[in-house]
Amino acid sequence: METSRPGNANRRSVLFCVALCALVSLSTHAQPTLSSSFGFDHQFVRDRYAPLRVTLAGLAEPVIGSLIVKQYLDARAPETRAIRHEIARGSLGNGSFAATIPAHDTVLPLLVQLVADDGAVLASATETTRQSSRGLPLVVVAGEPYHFDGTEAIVAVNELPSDCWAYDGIACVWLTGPLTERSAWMALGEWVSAGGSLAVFSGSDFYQWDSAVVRALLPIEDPFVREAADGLRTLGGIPRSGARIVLSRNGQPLLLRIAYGAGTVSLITTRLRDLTPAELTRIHAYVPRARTLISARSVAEKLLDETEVMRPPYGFAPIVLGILIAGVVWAHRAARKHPRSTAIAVLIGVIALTVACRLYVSREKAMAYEYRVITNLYITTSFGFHTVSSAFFTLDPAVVAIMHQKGAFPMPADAPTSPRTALSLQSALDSTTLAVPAGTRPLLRSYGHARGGFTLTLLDEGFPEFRIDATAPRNVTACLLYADGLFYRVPPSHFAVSLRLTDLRQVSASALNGRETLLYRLVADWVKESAHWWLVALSEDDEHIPPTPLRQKVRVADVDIVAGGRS
Amino acid sequence: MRAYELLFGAGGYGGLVALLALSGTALALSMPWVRRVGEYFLFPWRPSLTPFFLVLASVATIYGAQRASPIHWLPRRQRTHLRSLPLQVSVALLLAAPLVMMSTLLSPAYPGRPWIAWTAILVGSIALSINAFAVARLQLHRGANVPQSVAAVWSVHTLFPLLAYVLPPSVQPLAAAGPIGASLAILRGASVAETAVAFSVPLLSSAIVSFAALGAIRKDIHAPRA
Repeated sequence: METSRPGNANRRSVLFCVALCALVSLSTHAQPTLSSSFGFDHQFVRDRYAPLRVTLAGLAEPVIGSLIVKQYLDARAPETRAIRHEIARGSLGNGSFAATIPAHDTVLPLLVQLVADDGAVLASATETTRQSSRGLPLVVVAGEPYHFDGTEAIVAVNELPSDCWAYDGIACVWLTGPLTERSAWMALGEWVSAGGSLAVFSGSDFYQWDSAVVRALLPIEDPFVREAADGLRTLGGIPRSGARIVLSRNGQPLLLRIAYGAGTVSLITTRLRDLTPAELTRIHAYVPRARTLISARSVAEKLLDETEVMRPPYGFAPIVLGILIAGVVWAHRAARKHPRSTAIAVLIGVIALTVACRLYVSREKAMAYEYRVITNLYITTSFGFHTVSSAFFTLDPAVVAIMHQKGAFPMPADAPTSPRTALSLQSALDSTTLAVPAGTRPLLRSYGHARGGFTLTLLDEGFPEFRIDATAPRNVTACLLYADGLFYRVPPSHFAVSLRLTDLRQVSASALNGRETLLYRLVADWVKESAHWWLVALSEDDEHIPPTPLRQKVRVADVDIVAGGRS
Repeated sequence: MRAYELLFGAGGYGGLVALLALSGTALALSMPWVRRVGEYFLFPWRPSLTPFFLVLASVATIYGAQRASPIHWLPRRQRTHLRSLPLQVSVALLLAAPLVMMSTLLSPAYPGRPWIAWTAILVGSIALSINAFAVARLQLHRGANVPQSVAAVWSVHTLFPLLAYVLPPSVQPLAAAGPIGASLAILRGASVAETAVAFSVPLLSSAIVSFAALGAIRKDIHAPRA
């Protein structure tokens, strides 16, 4: 029997150690890799928001840096005309990062980069978006897959984003699987409040995803699972006020629909797999499509247009000019006889006039070259939807900075007609800068998570008494109450006291003033379908002039759309 | 030379009135006429400092050239005339000082720029008048047409540097050698090179030309009479 020699064992040990060291060194020198997924099921609508998921792997240890996404607006000058979003910053390790960014030009691929603080690009990935772009809003099926016509996006429920504005380009969300993520439900609720359309399929699986947030959205109260005669389990409950039974099966509601804010929620009382193809076709026909998300764009444009220009008075220049010419004419006549005293008088007069002009100039008469209006619109239901419309006008080309919520990147409200008309945006996590050309009026929109500053509390079950409260002192310039199909004007003096409808003055659409008409147009399309009472208020901040080098004028306005809630 | 003749003689009165009236009108028209932001889209006129300073630079240089052109035959009178040119041009631009002060209303972020531009126009106009005087004096001795030669000097001094704008960017600061280009560059936020060109070229040229002209006049004064 042959025994191994001690030299061989030593050699093996050395080889093992070398191999171990090589493995360790390989892991420490591993290259980070990035992968990304843009849109729902790699589909998105151009010039709308879309979710982005970036996966970072291969890092031996976290790096201090940021994740950058770049979209190029012009193939001829890609680096100078780009939109840059910073979607994560700080100590970044392996993992998944979600963000919602505007989808712009899709001709060039999306570039995702991991950039260290010293500017070195550690990893990079490109996402070809040319084939993923859609021209019209698409339907998202989340959970169990269902195909209508091949244009839908099929995603897993855990892929649903938690930013409501990610659903900007979505016609309808069919929720066919149990969704348990609260943040995703909140996003869906906010989106529906602002005009979205959600179709929920639930039967025997209801208790898997039941929660207070879910119940707030459903068109039925006190939901329960019941077993039908054919053994199929369906969801039952008492239809809420305003809910409609659209389709029935065996005498039981199959499809119920309710208006929720500016949007609708459809409940299909059984699971997707328990429906026949014919029933699904009928359901598809009856589930409405989402509206364009409600925005304060019209208010922002109106406020910008009516903003008073800060400028010197018209008469100032002609008056000074007249004095100067009169002085020269006088000096011409007087200098023949009294040349020395005339020269002294002219000198003193010119200096005095210059000093007078200087004193006048210092009285805040200077030109303002930049005007901006920031209009916040809040829809407060059980969810809080917040959108910001920012309107700008500058007389000189200017670089404008917009502060926003973390990751709530703004995008132009108007779809650009060409790469040349698109605005270049540079977004950090909570601020965006853009170059505004002179003489133009760019309008941007962004979204966020926030609740408005008003509450409408219905004090009694039958709603004869109610109360309107503002959480902070506000300069309310218009306030309307929608109740029982009618609009009422609410003076600010009626806040914070118990009211009855008889205390308020009913107004017709033709009797509304300018500000009230703006508010009326925001809600007129959808408010009459709602069973709620609604408060619509416009609060305007005083115009102010921030101490910036380029003299500017800023106006801030808040539009609150508040659903009445019981105390 | 009496003060009246200095300022108002030989067309000086009309020149001063024209300088004030034209530049003042340009300034008045440069002020915004709209009351609300939305009206900016109805009226194409945008408030800007540029028209005022374009007119001021053009008329001030014309005034400077005009003050140089009435050349007297006597060398002593020529010397007095040459020495008085900076004062004549300075008085004219001093009269425009209230207008320049008003123009700072249109430049609230950079209130110093109109004054720097005004200074550049002053220096450029003085240099132009001195150069025009030297050329006019030479033409007078040759018996050539003085007004035409002064107009040519004005063109070379004010318009010729503007041709630099059609050249590559590296040589475009040379446009600031003339008063119009200098004021435009300063209002825009001139670079160091442009500022240096705007002040050094007219100062150097006027210094050299005035020393040369004074030397020639001195020779004429001390020359033996034929």
